Amino acid sequence: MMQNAANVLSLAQLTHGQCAEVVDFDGGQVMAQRMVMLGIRRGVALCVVHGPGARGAVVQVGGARIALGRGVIDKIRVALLPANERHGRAA
Amino acid sequence: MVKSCHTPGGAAVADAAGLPVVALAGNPNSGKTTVFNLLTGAHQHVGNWPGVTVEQRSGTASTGGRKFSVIDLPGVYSLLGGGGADQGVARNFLLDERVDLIVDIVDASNLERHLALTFELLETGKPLLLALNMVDEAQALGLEPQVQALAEHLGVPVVALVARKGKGRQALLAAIAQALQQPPRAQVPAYPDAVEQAIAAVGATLEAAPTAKRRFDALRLLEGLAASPRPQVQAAVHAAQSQVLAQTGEDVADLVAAARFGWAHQLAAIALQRTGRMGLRHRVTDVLDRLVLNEWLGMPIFLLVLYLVFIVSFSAGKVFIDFFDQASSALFIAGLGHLLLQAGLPDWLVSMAAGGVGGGVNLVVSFIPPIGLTFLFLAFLDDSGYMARAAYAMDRFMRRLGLPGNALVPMVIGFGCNVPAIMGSRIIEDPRGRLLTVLMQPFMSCSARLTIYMAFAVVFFRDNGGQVVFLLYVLGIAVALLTAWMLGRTAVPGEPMPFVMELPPYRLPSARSVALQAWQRLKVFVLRVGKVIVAIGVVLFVLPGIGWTSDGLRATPIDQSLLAQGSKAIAPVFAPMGIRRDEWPAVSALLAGAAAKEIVIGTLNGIYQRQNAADLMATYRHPDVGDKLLQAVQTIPDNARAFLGGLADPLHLHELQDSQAATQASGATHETLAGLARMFTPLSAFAYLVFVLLYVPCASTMGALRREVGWGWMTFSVLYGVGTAWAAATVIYQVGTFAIHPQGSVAWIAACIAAFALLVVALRQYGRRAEQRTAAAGLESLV
Repeated sequence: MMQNAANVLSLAQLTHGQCAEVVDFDGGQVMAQRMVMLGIRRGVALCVVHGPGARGAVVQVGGARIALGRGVIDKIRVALLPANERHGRAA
Repeated sequence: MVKSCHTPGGAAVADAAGLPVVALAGNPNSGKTTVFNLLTGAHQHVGNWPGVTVEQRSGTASTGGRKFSVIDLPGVYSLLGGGGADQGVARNFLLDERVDLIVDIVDASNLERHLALTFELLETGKPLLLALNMVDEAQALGLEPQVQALAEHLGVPVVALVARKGKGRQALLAAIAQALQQPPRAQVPAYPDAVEQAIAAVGATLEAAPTAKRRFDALRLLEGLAASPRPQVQAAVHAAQSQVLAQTGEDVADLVAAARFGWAHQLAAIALQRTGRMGLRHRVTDVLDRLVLNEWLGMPIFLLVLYLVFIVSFSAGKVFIDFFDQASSALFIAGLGHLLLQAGLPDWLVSMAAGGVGGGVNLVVSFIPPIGLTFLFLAFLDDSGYMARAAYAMDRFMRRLGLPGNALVPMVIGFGCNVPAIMGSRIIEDPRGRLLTVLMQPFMSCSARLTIYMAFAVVFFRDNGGQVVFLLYVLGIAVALLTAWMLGRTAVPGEPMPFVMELPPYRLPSARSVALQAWQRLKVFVLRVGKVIVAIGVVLFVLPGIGWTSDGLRATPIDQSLLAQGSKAIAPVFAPMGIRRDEWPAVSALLAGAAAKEIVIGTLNGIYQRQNAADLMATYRHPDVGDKLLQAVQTIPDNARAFLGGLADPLHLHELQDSQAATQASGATHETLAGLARMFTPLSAFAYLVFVLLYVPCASTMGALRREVGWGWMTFSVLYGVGTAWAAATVIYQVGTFAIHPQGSVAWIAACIAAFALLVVALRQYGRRAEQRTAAAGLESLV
């Protein structure tokens, strides 16, 4: 849908400390549902609190910290959030 | 993880007494088991990582004079599907069984996501009560729960809890009593009309089922999370999906998710008022995570933590091991024998009861200190929140072997006991990863096997016992990992699912919770082992005493007994690994060890003690229990001094040089050790230990395997274990004795390699066929 938009990138491309809004998932309905169960769904804000590295990344979503493997973070497409929205939305 | 009053595999918990059924439901790690303990007064194991409860458990509680039954369910993220088999248990129960009240437990510090499940629970139409747990953690994040506002919006009672500290119990009980008397009328949230119509249309084509189940089946079909084998159902699903798209311009799946999460988002905003900024706790988590999840340090830290757990358990355990050993020996062997003799029982019965049963009990009791301490440390780790991080830190390494990172959690449990390790594999979502993880567990060297290593180390490896024992542990891990790797490339091909796991907040574990948890595990260990030991102790006192003679079954000397005859008959099988035919007690011990590893040394003890029965009878006549107990107590300060002085030698390996201390530590008698010295050479002893490490762990493990992966894989696991054990022991012995008979050795080693190659080919064939069978099934099927 929005993958051509300039500010959309994969979660793996974020750097430590950046916050972004989830745009879409690759990898089918089952993968999307797995993410949704953990609160990672379209429109939600998340912040990278560890990584991303070869292992994957740890993201903060709402009150939860979720560890995501490398195979997952490649498949989550996000749009960067301006730095000033960080604390308000993802804490 | 502790087994008590659970029902196997998610069978219905029919409440025979006709009590109202209160089910505890919520996301993983929301504190359901803590609430269960709080309500029922039970002391179930609660760990601070998702998926501690893998089965449903029931208990009873009462309030205002009214009893009700409480069901603790595994955590579940969604009633629509996903997650491991543990989540399926919860889903089926909530949708299919009679439930009078659902107590929905939500984590206040992570409210929005937890409320998404609340939406689904309200959809089931069952009466519901919301327990807002971990209110203290929300407050630490600067969020103040608005209980009243939340209750008004939901139309159901809301109770604030800090279950871990026991806060809110009375309020919860009162709310349950009230709700059972007068079921609350909830405001059931709704989807847009187009979606509701689609659900009704698809639901009408499904087979008769409880309303809630039918609704959720329809939702799963519409969201594309499942497929029906019946064409007319699939046709209705496609028709409904297109209709929704035409009416609204959006996918059903998107509309459903938007409705559910929009509702949760709004409600969470009402329920929590931001009062300040997040506190110190958040920063502590950041700092700790940076360290334990570090790309380079994560794995070494985990290995160091494990090493410390075992080293500290064993060295600190040794302070008390002599006391437990000597005191229980004085009471259960000498004391019991004396009492029975005084009671006028015949000598043979006395020696059976005191030597067989008492000796067995003595053996179990001696191992309480190190095993209890191991359980304590593991409980501490569980509660701290570190285990989920360790799984993530090890994920990359495990993935190279074709396993998910969380396979590590059961493996660590497996060092204590393989049975809970196999049960704990349920936390792994994909069936392939779970099967591989389950099949690895029998090779993890459990605490029972350590007793055997110790006895042998005393006799054969006095100078390097610690290294030999460590080598055996490493060998077990290596065989486990190689087994998973080999099976993953042959019989169960596929990729591990990418790692996804919630990291719970760090918590300083409460001493009470850690002690309770460790006590629970220890109790199960002692009772389970104790029962086997008592039974086997008796059998082992009878079998060596009778045998077939020309006059039929008669009392015979031990060398002509049934036990000797049977063991000698199968002894040739073990010849290639260095056991000679006249060493039949070693074979008897292996046979008994298939029931439980704890009794391998016990069996040898039994045989040698019987050969030595006359001496023991003298002990029963003059037991000196008081003196022996006093001596036992005196060992504690001595050992404590040795412990403090010997921190440089944490495994207390120097004790292996002192045969007296080492004998006591191994739980074996001098006769047993002398017997071992006659039977084995260091090489054949090592080969024997490798066999003990790798072959069938015990009857309970076999039972757990059957339950988790079925008869077929259990049979495979047992045969594969015995085969691997035999081949490994044979190769070790034949390589070691190569110079004596080079041709024979080459033949045996070649035979082992050929057999392994054959196995790999057969497994690959099996894997290809299995792959073809499942190739079509991309989605879960609704049957």
